[in-house]
Amino acid sequence: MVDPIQATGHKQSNYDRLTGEWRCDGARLGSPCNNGPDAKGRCPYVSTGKRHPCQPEKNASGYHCKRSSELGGPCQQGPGDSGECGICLPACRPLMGYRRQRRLWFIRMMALAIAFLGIVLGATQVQSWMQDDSAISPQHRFTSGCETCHTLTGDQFSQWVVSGAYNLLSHPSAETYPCTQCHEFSGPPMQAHNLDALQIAKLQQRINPDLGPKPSQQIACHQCHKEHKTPANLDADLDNQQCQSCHQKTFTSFDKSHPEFTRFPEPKQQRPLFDHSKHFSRFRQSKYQSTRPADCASCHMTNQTGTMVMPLFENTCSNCHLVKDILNVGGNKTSAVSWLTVPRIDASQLSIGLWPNCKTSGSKSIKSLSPITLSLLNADPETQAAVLLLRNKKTRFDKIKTASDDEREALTLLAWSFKQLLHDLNSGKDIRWAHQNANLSKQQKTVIAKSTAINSDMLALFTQQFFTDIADTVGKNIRNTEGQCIDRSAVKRLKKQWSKTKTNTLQGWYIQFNAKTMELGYRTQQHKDAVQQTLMNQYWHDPITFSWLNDKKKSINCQKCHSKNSTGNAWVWKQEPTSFSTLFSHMPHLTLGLDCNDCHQLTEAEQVKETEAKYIQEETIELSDFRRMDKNQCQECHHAEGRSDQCSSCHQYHSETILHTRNFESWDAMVKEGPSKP
Amino acid sequence: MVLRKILSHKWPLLFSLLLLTSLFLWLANAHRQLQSTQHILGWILMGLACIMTSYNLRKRLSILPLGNNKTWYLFHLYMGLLSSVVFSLHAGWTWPSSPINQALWLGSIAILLSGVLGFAVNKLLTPLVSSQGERLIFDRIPGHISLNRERSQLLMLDAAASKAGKPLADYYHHKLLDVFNHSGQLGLTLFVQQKRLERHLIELNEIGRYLDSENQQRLKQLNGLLKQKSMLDWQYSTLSIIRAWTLLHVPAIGFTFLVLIAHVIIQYAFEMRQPW
Repeated sequence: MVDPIQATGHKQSNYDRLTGEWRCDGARLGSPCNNGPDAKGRCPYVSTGKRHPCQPEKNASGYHCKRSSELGGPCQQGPGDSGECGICLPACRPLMGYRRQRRLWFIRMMALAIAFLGIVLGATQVQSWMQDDSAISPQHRFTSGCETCHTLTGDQFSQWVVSGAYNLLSHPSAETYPCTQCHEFSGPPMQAHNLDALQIAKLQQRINPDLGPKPSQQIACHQCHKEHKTPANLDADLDNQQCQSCHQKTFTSFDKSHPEFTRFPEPKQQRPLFDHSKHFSRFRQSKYQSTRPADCASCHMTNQTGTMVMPLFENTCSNCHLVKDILNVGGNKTSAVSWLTVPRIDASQLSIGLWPNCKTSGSKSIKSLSPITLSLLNADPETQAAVLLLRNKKTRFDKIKTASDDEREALTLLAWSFKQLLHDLNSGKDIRWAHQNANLSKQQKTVIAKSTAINSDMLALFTQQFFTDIADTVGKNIRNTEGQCIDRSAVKRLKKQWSKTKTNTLQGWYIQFNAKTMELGYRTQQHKDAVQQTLMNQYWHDPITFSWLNDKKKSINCQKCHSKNSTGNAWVWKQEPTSFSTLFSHMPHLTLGLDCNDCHQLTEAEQVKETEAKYIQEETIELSDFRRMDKNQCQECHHAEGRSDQCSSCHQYHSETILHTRNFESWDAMVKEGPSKP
Repeated sequence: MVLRKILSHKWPLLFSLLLLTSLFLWLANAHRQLQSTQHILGWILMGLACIMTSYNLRKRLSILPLGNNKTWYLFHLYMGLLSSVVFSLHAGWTWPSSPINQALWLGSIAILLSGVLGFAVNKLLTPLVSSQGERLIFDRIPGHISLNRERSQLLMLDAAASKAGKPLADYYHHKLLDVFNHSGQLGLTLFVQQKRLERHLIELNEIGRYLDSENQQRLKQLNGLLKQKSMLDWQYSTLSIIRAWTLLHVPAIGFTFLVLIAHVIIQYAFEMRQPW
């Protein structure tokens, strides 16, 4: 029988500091010293030099040992004659305690981490180290580096710290998202479905107020499109739960609880107006039989994504509908639109400087001015008031003597405003354009810029030939020059001189000068004429200008096929999607062998006539010459156990199928330049 | 048995399950609201790391009434399990692309694996140590081994003084001197010490027939010292392993903590935040 190993008595068990930073090496031999190492891990016998357990005391009989009982009591040999202790305690090299070992390793690993971070983050190639091209989709691999998209980040770690703190503390705005520098949307880019506040307000009843992002909240691109997570495919993969977090009506599956179709694929706004019944019935026996569409595929085809693409006029309609018919030209018709009509003012009675058109015959009131001229002049409030006064008083421009002072003043203002308009347009100050184009899209503004560029040559000629004093008067802000009519013969000479050097028309632009009128105008050149489209986009909401632009007698009649959209807030050139969120891919259905007529069935001719009548009366009516589809047709295949019944199978998040992307000169330029910094 | 022990501490388990459920609901809601679940998971992971690290703080502030050690240990354990799930959702088990994330991934895996190792070692070896009779303090075992050696040497010096004790002294000198001189060690000790002890005990028993009664008594004492030495070696080896895993677990936390700070800075510097 062996006794217990550990002694438990306080005198039997040494005071070994087990949890201390340092331990006496004697502990390894079972006899640690009572002092133990100091805080710095030094043996006290070495550091203090005192290696004797006691200080012998001298009395009458000489020196005797004073060792304490804890250390074993007085020693047998006792001190030497000179009083020195006869025991020399062994010095040791203290052991490192367990906790200190663990802390030392902790510090070492932290030092290793600091060294690692210093090497990685301090390297000049840090970004290329951090950036893994394989994790970025090919179209976003810009050679200009990470800051191409992460515009506020910088390329140094110190900048990252600042940027990180900024991102953590600041509230980001839509401007901080670089996607919108290249990608343009039909509506506010960060709003739900790119719908504006008015459209969202209309959908309030369909939004669950308790779930999902609030309508006022923005939804950033990266919340759905995970750039560095799914490099091969940036398409967002929204699941049903995410869709239904906002939508009030939630349902478990398509076949069981999806609402019946009420708007798919009809009724929808039929813009441009196209009567399928006519093309498949009435024209079947007509003279167009050789050119009319044989079947649906003659006009409709799917694109790469499987979406049905609307046919182009040039590829389909123009087979029968000749351009000259569309342009409404032939005979005496010229399809011309007057842009700037010079008011026929008797300049001799007013202080309006040189004036070219004062002694012609014909109408000489405010009515003689084209709506576009008036529209441009009305951009200035003072001129607008003058025009109103002249209109109300039916002032005749050639009878200034009988006019009141107000009318004379208004006429003077009108004349100088007209000159100012010419001066502004010639000098590139598009003040009026900017004012009127404030609500136009970037694409429409580009078209307008192009069209004003085209007519700038003509404007310069027009101004140089007939308003020679503009630079000396309007240009120098002098508006009290005595009025003087340019002699009609002199004007004729000028016109003849100009006609010899220039063609009468410059890409559609012309100057018309005869006994009745003097104007700068434009003749529509083709279908989809950019200038004509610009005018329609600009003035579709102005009933006077609009009816004047669509005057069948003298101009192209765009209204015959095109019109406002269903909400009446924009002019429509192309057919709008059936629903902003419905995305139906025909391709997989056609590959299954389905015929177009299996789903799309024409309505009866009488019904078509009825809807056509409604269409003529009310342009924004939604109609179709196809029967409404039945949900049962789809759920035969699309159900929980069958084909996909995900919301995203048929509905898209963005309100446009194709997003506009900033144009670069080439693909390489885009990759190299990347989006411009804000 | 382990399950019974876990169930006996209901509060940590209930709290952990409640936390797990809350996190799941939070994530599901964030996912529905198109919020970045990666972002949320990252901060959850950070929060769990802080909770687990506070276990060490609790040990230092033992004077405060912050619950008993067992409860904290179980919290630490459950949070560790939860962290592994969150980590797999946040970072996945695929090798990251950037060096910082690679280092962070390695550090996190080292913490996780060393934690699992520590748990396994504690669960498997601690009962074995307890079953070996007297439970010793690890740091004192070298001293006990030294005293054990001294006692055996004194015993054998006495045996060598008599002619009858010479076989015993010879056997000690040739076979047992190395056994008593070696301090506890890792490695094979764990696996071979029992067989070696049995062999020596058999051989000593063989010698006993040549000894007189006085040396028979010494033989008996030597047997006891030999068993004690074997037990000391075994406990030293076992407790070394139990203690050594923290030398991997804790330093890995230090490394990962610093890399984690860099990771957070970089993520915020390069992130596109939700606009709300």
